[in-house]
Amino acid sequence: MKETDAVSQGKPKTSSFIRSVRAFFAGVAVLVLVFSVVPTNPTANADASVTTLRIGMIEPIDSLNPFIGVNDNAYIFYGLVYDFLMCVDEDLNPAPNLALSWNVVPDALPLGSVWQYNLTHNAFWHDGEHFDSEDVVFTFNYQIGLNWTDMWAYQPYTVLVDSVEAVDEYTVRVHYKDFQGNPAPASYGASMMLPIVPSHYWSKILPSAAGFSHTNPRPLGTGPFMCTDQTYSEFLTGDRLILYRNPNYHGFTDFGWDIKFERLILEFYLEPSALVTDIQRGGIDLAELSPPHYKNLVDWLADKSTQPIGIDNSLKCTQYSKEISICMTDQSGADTNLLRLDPVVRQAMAHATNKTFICDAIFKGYAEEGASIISPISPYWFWEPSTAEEYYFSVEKANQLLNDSGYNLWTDDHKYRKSVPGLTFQWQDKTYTFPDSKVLEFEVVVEAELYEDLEVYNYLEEAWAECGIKLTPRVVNTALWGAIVYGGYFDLTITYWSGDPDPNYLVYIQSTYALNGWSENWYSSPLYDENYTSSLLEQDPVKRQEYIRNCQYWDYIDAAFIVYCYPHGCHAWRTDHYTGWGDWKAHPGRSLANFWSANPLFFDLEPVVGNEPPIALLDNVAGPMGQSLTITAYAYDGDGDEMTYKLEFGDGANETGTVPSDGEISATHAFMNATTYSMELMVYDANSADAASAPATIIGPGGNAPVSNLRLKPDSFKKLSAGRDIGFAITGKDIEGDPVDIVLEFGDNAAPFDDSFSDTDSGFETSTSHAFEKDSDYTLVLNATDGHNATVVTLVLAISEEEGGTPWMLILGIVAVAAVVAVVAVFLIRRKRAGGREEEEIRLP
Amino acid sequence: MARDFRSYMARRLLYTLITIFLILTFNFLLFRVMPGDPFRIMVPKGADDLTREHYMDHYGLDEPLIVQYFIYLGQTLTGHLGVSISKFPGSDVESILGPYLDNTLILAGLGTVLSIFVGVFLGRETAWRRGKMADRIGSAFFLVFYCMPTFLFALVLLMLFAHYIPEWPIRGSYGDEYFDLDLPGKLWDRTIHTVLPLFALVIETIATFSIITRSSLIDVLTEEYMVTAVAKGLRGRQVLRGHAMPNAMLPVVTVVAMNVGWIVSGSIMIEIIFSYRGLGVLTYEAVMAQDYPLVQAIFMLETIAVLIANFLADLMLFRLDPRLKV
Repeated sequence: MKETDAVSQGKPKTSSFIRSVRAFFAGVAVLVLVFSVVPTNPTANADASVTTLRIGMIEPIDSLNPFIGVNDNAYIFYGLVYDFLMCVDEDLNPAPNLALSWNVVPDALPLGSVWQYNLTHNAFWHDGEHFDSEDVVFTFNYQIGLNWTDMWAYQPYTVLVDSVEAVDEYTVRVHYKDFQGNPAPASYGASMMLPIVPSHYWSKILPSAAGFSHTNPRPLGTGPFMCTDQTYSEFLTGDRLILYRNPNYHGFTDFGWDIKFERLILEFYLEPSALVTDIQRGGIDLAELSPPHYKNLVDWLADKSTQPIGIDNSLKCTQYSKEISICMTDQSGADTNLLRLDPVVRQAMAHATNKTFICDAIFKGYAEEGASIISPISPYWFWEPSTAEEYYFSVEKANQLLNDSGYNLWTDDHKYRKSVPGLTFQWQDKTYTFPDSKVLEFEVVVEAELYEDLEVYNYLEEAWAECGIKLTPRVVNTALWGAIVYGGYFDLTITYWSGDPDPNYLVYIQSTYALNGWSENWYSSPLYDENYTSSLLEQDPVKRQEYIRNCQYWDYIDAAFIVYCYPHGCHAWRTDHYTGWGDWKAHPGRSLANFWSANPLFFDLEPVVGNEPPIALLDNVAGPMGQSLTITAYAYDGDGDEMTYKLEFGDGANETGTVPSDGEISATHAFMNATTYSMELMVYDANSADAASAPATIIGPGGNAPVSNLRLKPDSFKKLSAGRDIGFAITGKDIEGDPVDIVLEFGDNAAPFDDSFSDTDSGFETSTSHAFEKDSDYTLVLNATDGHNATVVTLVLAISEEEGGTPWMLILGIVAVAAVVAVVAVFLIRRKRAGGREEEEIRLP
Repeated sequence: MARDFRSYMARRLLYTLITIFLILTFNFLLFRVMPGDPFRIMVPKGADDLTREHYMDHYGLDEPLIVQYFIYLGQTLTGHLGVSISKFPGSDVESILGPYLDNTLILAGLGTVLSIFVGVFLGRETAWRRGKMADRIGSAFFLVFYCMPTFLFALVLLMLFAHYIPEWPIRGSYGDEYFDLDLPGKLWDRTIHTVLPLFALVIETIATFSIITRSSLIDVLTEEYMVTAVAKGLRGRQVLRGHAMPNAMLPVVTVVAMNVGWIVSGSIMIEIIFSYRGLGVLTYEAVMAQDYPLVQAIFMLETIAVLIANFLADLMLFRLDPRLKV
């Protein structure tokens, strides 16, 4: 048999089998790839060239249905697509939206029980249908009366709505009631912060489905951004949601609100460091960050002032607060400890809580110490305790309270306190007696998903042990947490609250009316309720403020909530992509968190299309008074645009003109007084400006002028990157012709450059070069002395990262892997050699 | 007595179907004996008892357990995997799974195919050159990447690409314009979004398959029938392809089948780092959201995938290993 025959006999079965296996897998791979790229919806209409605002978030929205979604990002989404009757302006005041105005109906009694909302004539639903009062009537009727239970999402707003009527096509009246069902004034009628939905769509959906299960695949609103047929698919995929500018937005006609970009994309990240990386490299325009990642970004930006990234950390406009919740029902089950109902115990807990530590250590300083459930972001409603009322941090005070109130027995290990036998205390109208001694021990229910809550618990366990209070954790998932807390079967838990700027929403949840529903501490106080109901009815804002603050007072004094902090919102944005971000601290309503429709931020953002801002250099000038002096300056624009300039001489006179992109400015001016004037130069391109200032030193008779027209100029303002030799030209003159010495310090600890000139009245010139080692901001200082005076010029240069430089990380990574491979290879070689020859001898072939 | 291939296949199929049925039952019971009320998560702040009762009624959670079980079986067999209760409230589970399954098929499917081809090839070549420099370097390479945590390598890749190739996408399975691209554009878009997670995923599985192939092949090469093959005049490569590899593939096939489940669930760290939403991420999010219908469906899908892979492996082994026919 020939060798080839042998081979062909030996191979065919297995090799063809292996070939078929290969073919199978190759086929699978091709099929997978092809199927994956088949468009699931060909109707999407994106255009790659459209201007886009990209917002990076961590948590994807939890529902497209505004009656189901609960997370903040879902509310942000609803605020983009839907309009509310009113919105919240940049200073957190109610502002017109679908309702252009509103008022209390004067002839309806009691006064304030009927509010009239006058609607816009210009709004259209995103499917082209006209918006009118029937939609508003439907939205309210959909959520009140028999539907109220099913439609739980906006219950604090709808709980006291009795009925709604359409007066005409663009006017609606809402009738309010009290908790007994009688007509009653509503102080919060100007803050009905719920999305208005189209009746022609939602009337086909039963409330029981709307509140529980309807997916709302293509949300239909009147807001500034529209969904597409692709939205539901995008929602399920969870990568991003793409919204388009609504060209028929009523806000433009009614208020001049215009969106200046075509598309808004909510980009959802799973890895927070990838989100930070993308804001650093410009992959997104705006990002919401967690405190630790925000801190990383702040640290990274510390020596990079020219990075086009704006940042803000300030109190959230949603009044976000974090609190320790103490269960106030005595029906909490036998496993719980009713000693928590003793006011003294709760006061001791409050005294033993170091809020400063929590803010600094757990929230990295991006939080403010808490007091009541209304945040200081709303100063008009915010209440904080006086010094006498405050549960200030003091372990001694906590111990003293407990010692004085019958908790001065200790466990055998002398670590935790016990009540004395027969301890009696009163809470509200009930007296509680404990015949036997009981350890001051409480279980804290903590949500496993909330990392910061776990950290707060760990702190509390340690801190409260110092005054003899024992805590044990019960870490549960969110679902179980809800079952325990809303069932009232717990001692303590850690929770959070947020609400719109009007206090009604937040004070409701602490009222008796929220028991078995929104209450998370089962707090019920007649004094609180009295003030709460008064605040609902009160039309006078000053008196209402008093009631609201009284509510907070009683809530604080009873210490059923220990509000430990108000966490900040941490955001970063790209200033080279968009302008118009504004000051979020001064105007917190510009924050991304303003989700009550028509967020003013989006109307002010303007895309920056390939513009580099100009650079201005202004030289000093020196000379005698009354003589015409030549003032020199330089302007540069990276885009090659012609610029306009305005040169102010500092004596009230100025000169304006135009200058080419890489051009000199020269002006003559006579200064009349022997003094130093401060000159200023502004240069403008079409989108931005730069300013420079320099002194004009004017001497009187017999004086000696310092070096004049001194300039330090790099060879280029482009590519100022680390590692590159940057040339510097130094020019100037001394009108007296004195010898001049110059010293240039580069700001990076390198040896300074110096030079001397003898013939200087017609000008001197020199040059040098320098390479900066790393990317940072450097302040270069040029000092010129003529034997009489010194002239100093400073120049701040932003040195960027080395372009196309050595990828050290990559090299290091490769070297590290190669080194490990080499070490393992050497190990294997040594082991092989030690293995002997026997194996070699039988090795095949 | 030689066993017939068809009866062998029928028997394996029956075992597989019985296992699937048992797993469906286990899957149903598992989430009902866990603590916590599944529907509570849907009612965040404020729902009263009446609302909660509505939820129970809507999702059939107020039915007796046995009734729920038969409803579950009937729906599953008719392709209806239930309705999401918390992750995507109200959405059909089968419509949720689609895009995640696509992503996983691309990542894990391509990853498996690549790992098999490259891993087996490298394992074969290093075994063939056993003791030589190529083997030593190759083995060192396999060991390093076998031991290196996948997430670490993925993070390094992300940082390097973000820093040195800023235009390269570091998140997602496709770009913003994906649905508007033509077919070549879609392929390119998918490719550039898949390269990094795929590379991070396969580097370890390639090492795994290489090590197994190498050690298996070395065992086979020392068998006496290899001497016979040489003695009858076959050249080295012919011996390798015709006699050694088919025998060495037995443990490799077994490991590949076992790895199917691992690749689907084990890629979760890669998916998180590159925000590449596949079944791994969906599993994690569904578990965290206590979305029982969704979790049940994912577990069922993954279990069936592993069972099918094992079924196919059994069939391949039957073809590869004549001893099974006796």
